[in-house]
Amino acid sequence: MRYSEIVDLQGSAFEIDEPSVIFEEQDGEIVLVELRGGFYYRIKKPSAGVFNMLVSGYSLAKLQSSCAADGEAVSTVVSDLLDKQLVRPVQEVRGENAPPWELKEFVLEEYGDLQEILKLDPIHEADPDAGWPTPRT
Amino acid sequence: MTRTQSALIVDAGSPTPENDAGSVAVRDLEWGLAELGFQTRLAAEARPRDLQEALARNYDVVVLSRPSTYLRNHSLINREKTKVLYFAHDLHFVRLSLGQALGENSGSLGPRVMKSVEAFCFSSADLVLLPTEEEVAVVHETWPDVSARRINYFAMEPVDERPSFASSHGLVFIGSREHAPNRDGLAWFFEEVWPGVVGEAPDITLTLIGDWASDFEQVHNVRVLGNVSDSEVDVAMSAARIGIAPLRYGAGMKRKTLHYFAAGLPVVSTDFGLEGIRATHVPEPAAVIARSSDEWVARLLELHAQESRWNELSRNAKRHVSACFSNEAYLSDLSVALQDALQ
Repeated sequence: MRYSEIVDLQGSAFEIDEPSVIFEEQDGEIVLVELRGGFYYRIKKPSAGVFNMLVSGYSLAKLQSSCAADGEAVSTVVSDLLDKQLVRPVQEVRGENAPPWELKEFVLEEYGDLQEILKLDPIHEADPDAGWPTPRT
Repeated sequence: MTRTQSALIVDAGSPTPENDAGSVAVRDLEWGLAELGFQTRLAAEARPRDLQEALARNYDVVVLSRPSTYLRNHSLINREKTKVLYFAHDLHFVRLSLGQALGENSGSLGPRVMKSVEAFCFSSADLVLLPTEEEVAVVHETWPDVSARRINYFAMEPVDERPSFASSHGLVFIGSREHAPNRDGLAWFFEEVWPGVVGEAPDITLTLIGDWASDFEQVHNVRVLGNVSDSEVDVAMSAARIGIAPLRYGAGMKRKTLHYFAAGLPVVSTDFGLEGIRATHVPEPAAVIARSSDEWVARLLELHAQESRWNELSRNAKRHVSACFSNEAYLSDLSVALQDALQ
């Protein structure tokens, strides 16, 4: 089940899930490193602009109402980012209306070649008392 | 009365020194801190409750081992009372870049991403510990404000006696299959070098220490020991005549080469296999460098057959370890680094 199907996010804004996620923007391209699963993600232009808009502090409701695309498209992108643990919902939101913006496409490229170095499997999978490699029951 | 200082080391899992050199480095660090008078504790992320309890206490020094462990835990430490040291093991982004140049993960953003990750670790730690002067220089050049120091990473004492030239035979390689440069290096060695060696000297054998059974057990004249105890490693090192380090890329200090030296084993190696270990202040060579496959075949056959040369290199290898990588040298390096951090 997706995150957005469990929690009502209409009043929430979104922020990068630091410190478990590292954010880097260079020449308009964004790289997000997710340290729990060990994946990293590249977001090229123009998707990078969409991502920056989604984490600019406006609530989901305001992001949907100011977007040229339909609200469902915005929800889909947000859900994907939540499911991948790249962003988290926050209750502190900007009061003013969001400026008009476009969501024609959003491409999130996922890479796993650093998993060996970055991933957190021992913590996720180990029994909290017995420790690694005893699996969590 | 002087207060006993305290140190916590955090790593991803409990050390498995029989499997990987990084674990040996963590174990040696734990020993070194205790020897220097620190009340020392080791906690693993794999035991979350134990880690949580450990992090709730105050320490003079917390050492976070490896980049991912650093990133997940640095913000949990009370920086007002504690100095945070990043135990880097090597420059991952350099290792990944060099691997990529040889075709590994071609086109991947891995080196760039890793550089960002490591930049964050470097810039937020009070002190970065690295195994080689070359890596410290790279860090200082790239991030001038970062405080980085080299420490020995491994403490090792040479054997008193080792079997003679006549009593030893063949080659030995020690290394984990988990480490990509080892996989690449051995694959290259078996493809490009080994056929030439056994073609000229059909009785030469190669013993592999590490989890290589699925890769090379069927290769002619090759014996795979697997992950074995320290005493079994010592037996294999004593029985062999030459240690090999056919690494085509990598970063950090190569424990395998030090291990060969400590066993009095002459070494044939690439430049990468001697990184951080090259005897710049010891006049006598302790290893033979080979770069091309032809050089490898020639140097191995020569050294395997030349008793006087072998005796000289064996002597120099032990002398080098004794001079630069002994327990005493390790503690001296670590002590200076800690004084810097705790000032």
